Parts: sequence; structure tokens; C-alpha cells
Amino acid sequence: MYVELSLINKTYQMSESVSVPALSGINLSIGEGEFVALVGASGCGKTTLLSILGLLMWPSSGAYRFAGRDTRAVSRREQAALRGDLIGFIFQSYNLLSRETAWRNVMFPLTFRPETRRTRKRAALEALDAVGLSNRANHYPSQMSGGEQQRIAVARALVNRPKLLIADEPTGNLDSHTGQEILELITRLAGDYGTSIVMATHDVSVAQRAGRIVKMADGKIVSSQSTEA
Amino acid sequence: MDWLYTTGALIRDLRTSRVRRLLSILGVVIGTGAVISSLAVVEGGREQLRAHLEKLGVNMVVLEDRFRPEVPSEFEDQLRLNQMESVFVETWVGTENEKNTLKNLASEQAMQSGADDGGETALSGVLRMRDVEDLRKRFPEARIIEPITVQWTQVGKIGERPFGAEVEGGTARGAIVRDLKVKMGRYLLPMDVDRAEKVCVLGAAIAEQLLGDRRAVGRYISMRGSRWRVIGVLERKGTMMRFDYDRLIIVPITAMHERNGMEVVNALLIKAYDKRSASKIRNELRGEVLNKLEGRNPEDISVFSQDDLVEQSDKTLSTFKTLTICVAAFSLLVSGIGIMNIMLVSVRERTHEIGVWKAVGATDTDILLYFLSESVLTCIIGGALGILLGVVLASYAAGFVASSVTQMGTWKPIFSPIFFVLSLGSTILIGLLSGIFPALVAARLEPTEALRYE
Repeated sequence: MYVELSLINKTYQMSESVSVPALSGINLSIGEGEFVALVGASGCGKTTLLSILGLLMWPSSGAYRFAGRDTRAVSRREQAALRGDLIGFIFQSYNLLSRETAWRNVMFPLTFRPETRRTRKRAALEALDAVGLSNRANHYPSQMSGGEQQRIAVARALVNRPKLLIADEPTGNLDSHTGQEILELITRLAGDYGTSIVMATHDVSVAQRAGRIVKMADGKIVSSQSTEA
Repeated sequence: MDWLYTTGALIRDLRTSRVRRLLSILGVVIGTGAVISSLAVVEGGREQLRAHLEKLGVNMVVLEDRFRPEVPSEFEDQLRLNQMESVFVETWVGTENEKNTLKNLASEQAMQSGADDGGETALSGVLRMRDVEDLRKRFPEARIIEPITVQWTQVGKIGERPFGAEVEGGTARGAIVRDLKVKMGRYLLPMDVDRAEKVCVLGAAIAEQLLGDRRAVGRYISMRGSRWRVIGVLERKGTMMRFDYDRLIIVPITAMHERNGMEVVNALLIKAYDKRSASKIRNELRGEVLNKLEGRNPEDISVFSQDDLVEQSDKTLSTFKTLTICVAAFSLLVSGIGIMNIMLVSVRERTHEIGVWKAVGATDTDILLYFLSESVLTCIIGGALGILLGVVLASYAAGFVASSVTQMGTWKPIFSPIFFVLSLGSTILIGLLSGIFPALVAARLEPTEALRYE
């Protein structure tokens, strides 16, 4: 398995006496190239689970093996390197850098890697081409529609050909038609690169596109069903 | 981290809040401007001092007696001269030469009547000409010992309203000691001094003020109630050893004594053979003179060598420099706090963006370096503007300092490359110090918290 969570607990310590449990006893394995949809009501712990999967947050207890490594043993710097090399993120609100053009936004994750500037730019332009926005390379986010901005975000998430794509409600801000287009794009490109996808969503039709639907409630996984069955 | 990309991103970021950043770097601009201008002014002043040394030669010693005995009222002198002038103008019918001869005669009589009140006063406790002779024998190390008497006197164009000017009674060799050069006419000759001729040599500026652009040599000015013939005009020299030579009027010391009705020498100009002799004279002369002048307040007599003046001017310049640098340092410190504040605002405003950076692989160090670079770059821009301001300020400051802080002639500021390196270095330091805390705040943000921040 590429991603393996066992008995993951996460508690938010609000103050000395107040702690809020967010996840409890999560066991989850995701194989290479697998598409997993996380569904559940708001506040059920989907985003917390995605954050732990994306190495943005440490669990309070439990073990998380990612790409064959026990993440409890990696430093903050190594975590950042793993995120940069092996993980891509797509957010509901795009999270593009407003002062940068489309191609610079796409190139941004490569800035922290050792490739040459020429290689990085070529990779960014290729990624833009892959999402069909080569003609918008020099536009700023504010000059683009929501769908176009999310395409830029997809290009940015996949520019480093990650092994794991974390998507938190990627179609949540889009109309259903654009949402479907984005979903198509994500699944097609992830399929091309052999990238595993973990996507949190409220949209049943989106979840149906996944290979497996993991249902959460109150910080626990209540069911895990393959859609092919 | 790709520094080329980062620098570009920084510049793009800085452009988005130009006014706010410009205001925050004002202190750096002013501080750096002050540092650059003060260093350039002081360097210019030091260069001027070196030039002074070269001009004067290095072995000069001056003795000054601050005691000023009262001389007959200048107002009365002037009144007499003006009355005399009006009588002549109204009544004279003879030739110009005869008129002048008679005028001089009348002028001397007028002076005599003034002197009759007090007569040739036998003052005790002051330096006299014979004392100078004694000192020449006592100090064979001195190549030249020349007496001078300096006093503030009413002077003017004949028949016009007089004004105050410094008049020096000197000797022919006074020009050699101070390397005075004559632009028109000639300097005093020994003959002028021996005969106590009523002749004068004018500084360039006062010649212009008194007689305008017209040829000054051969014309007359009024001074202490009599007429003095202009025999020469000095080249422009500026201020040296406390004298503004452009505004000085030099007359034979004997003529001045005669006119004052008392023989008082209030300064000695000494040129020694070499540096050692100058030092010996500087150390022994005061005691020797005080021995001669019994009962005098020792504080009235001061002896200073050229080195003392240079040292004093140098000290004044250094004090000025220290003071300005302190003000600049304070300004930079305050500015540093301002920059730290704006950096904290910047970090807060971009908290969400920092979350995105971290999500795509930026390490804490990347974030730290980015924000540190931002504050350093802000300061460098401030420093560069400050250098421009300093270059402009320096030329004005040099004139001001030259005239008010030190008593040397005006000079030009000198900009050494090290000043620019120093200024930029200090602004970079301010950038680092003011940026480190906000940069650490940014670097330590938890990615999920940053992403949640709206």
C-alpha cells in the first residue's frame, strides 16, 4: 500500500482543560493509482484526515506510513520535501497566488526544487497545456473565471507528477457542468501519472466517480465501499 | 529556493503596497542620507585641512593676547573725518594734489587733537615692539617672528557711512609667514612700516565692497578718522588660522600704533625652521611672554601651533560626525521598528498564502528567508534613496558646517566608496534585525492553521 493509516487519533487542544476529538481510530489504506472519495457531514473530520494524509498536520497518536516511510520519524523539513515531491493539493477556494500570473502559479511548487529555471518553466507550460489553458499563461487569477482558476490549481497540483493528490471539495465552488469538467480533468491526469487521489466531497455524483467511497461520521470511518462492486 | 524567482516575486510584492512601504522606509532614507552626508562633509573638511597644511607649511606658531586696551573713540574719529571731508568738498578751489596734501595734514591734525586727550599712553603689561626684538633673540629657532595688532575698526568709503571691519597692523614679512599673495598692487614694504605710512592692503571681498569693481589701488578709504591709500588687494584666500583674509584690511603696524596713540602688539606670527623648533617654541613661548608681562591674567595669552588648529578642527569635525551618526543611528533604529511593524502586517495579511506555500513544499527556512529578504530589500531601497538624499544634502551641509561649525574656508564634500558600502551595510543590518522576528513568526506558522486563516 502507498498510504497506510492505522489507529489514527487527532485531538485539538483548545485550552488546558478543553480538548476536542476530531479523529478516532482511523484505519485506512490507499493503493497506488487508487481514487478514494471521503464523504460525510460537515465537521465529521474529512479535512483533518486530509491534512494528516497530506503531511500538513501530525496525528495525536497512531501510525501513518507514506511511500514506505513512517511519518512519525520525519522532521518538519523532510515533511515539506515529501509534500513538494510526492503530494499535490487542490482546494475548494483555489488558493492561487493573486500577484502571480497563471504560469508562475503553476511553476510555484517547483521553486523549492533543484531543477533549472528553464526545466521548471517548461514543466509549468506543459501542465498548463494539459489543463487546456496555454493561452491564459500570462493572465492573473483575477482575470479568470472560477473554472479556469480551478484548472490552474489542478495544473499546479499535478506539475510535480505527485504520487498522492489531496483534493478538498474541488468542485464545491463551481457549477455542476464546470465541476464535472474539473473532475474529468483530475481523474484523467491522475490516471496518466498513476497518482492516487483522496477527495473530500459532499457531492454524491462526484463520489460515484471514485473507485472507493469512505464514509465518515463523528471522526470515525463508518464504511468503506468499492463503487465497482 | 530559486533566488532569481524569489527576487522577482519580492519586487512584485513590494509594488503592491508602495505608499505604505515608502512611508515605512522614510527613516532609513533620512538616516542613510545623514550618514552619507556627514561622512562626506567630514572627509571634505579633512581634505581641506590637509590643503591648509600644505599651503601654510607645517611650522607655524601663533601667540595671541586677548587683552584689548581701550583706544580713542572711533565714532569721534569718524565724525572728525566726515566734518573735514565736507569742509574740503565745499570750499576747495586748488589742484587735486594740493587738496590731498592739505587733507592729510588736516587729518593728522585731527588725529593729533584726538591723541592729545590721551596722548601716547604708556601701557604696562602689554607686548610692545621692543619685546618682539627680545623674543627674536631668545628664540633663534624661529625663522620669522612678526608682530601684529588686530582691532575691530569702523571703515568706509570717503564721505560714506562706515561699517565695522577687522584691521590688522602688520609688517612686510607677515605676507611670507602666511603665504599671502597680492592680486593687484603690492603688499606692505619695510619702508611703509618704518615710515608708518598710512597705506593699506585690502582683502578681495572687502575691496569689492568698499570700492566696487573699479581699480582699488591708488584710491583712498577712511579708517579711524583719517584717509588711507590702498596699495594692494589680496588674492582670495578664505579663512585661515581664524582670520578671514578676504575681509581683512592690513596696514603698517607702526601706522596703527601711531593712530591708536599706543604701542600694543596683540599677536605674534612665528615661522620656525622645522617641526621640532616649532614644537619647542610652542611649549616655551607662553611662559616667556608671561614673564615679560607682569601681573597679567595668564588666560589672556594663548599659543597655538598650526597642528593645534588642525587638531581642533579635526576634533570639531569628528564631534559633528559622531553627533550626526548618533542621530542617524536613532533614525535607523526607529525606522527599523517601523519596518518590523509593516513586516508583521505583511505576514498577517499573507498568512493564508504562507499556508499554500507550505502545502506545495516550502520549508520553514524558505519562508524565513523570503520574509527576511523582503525586509532587507525594503531597507536596501530605503538605503539607495538615502544615498541619493545624502549626496544632495552633503553639498549644502558642507557650506553650513564650514561657516558655522569650523572656521575654515568652504569646502566640497568628498564621497569615498567605503561610505556607500558602510551605508548599505548598515541598512542591510537594519533589514535583518527588523525582519528576523516577523520572518520567524511566518516560518513557524502551522500549515493547516495558516490555510484556515481568512
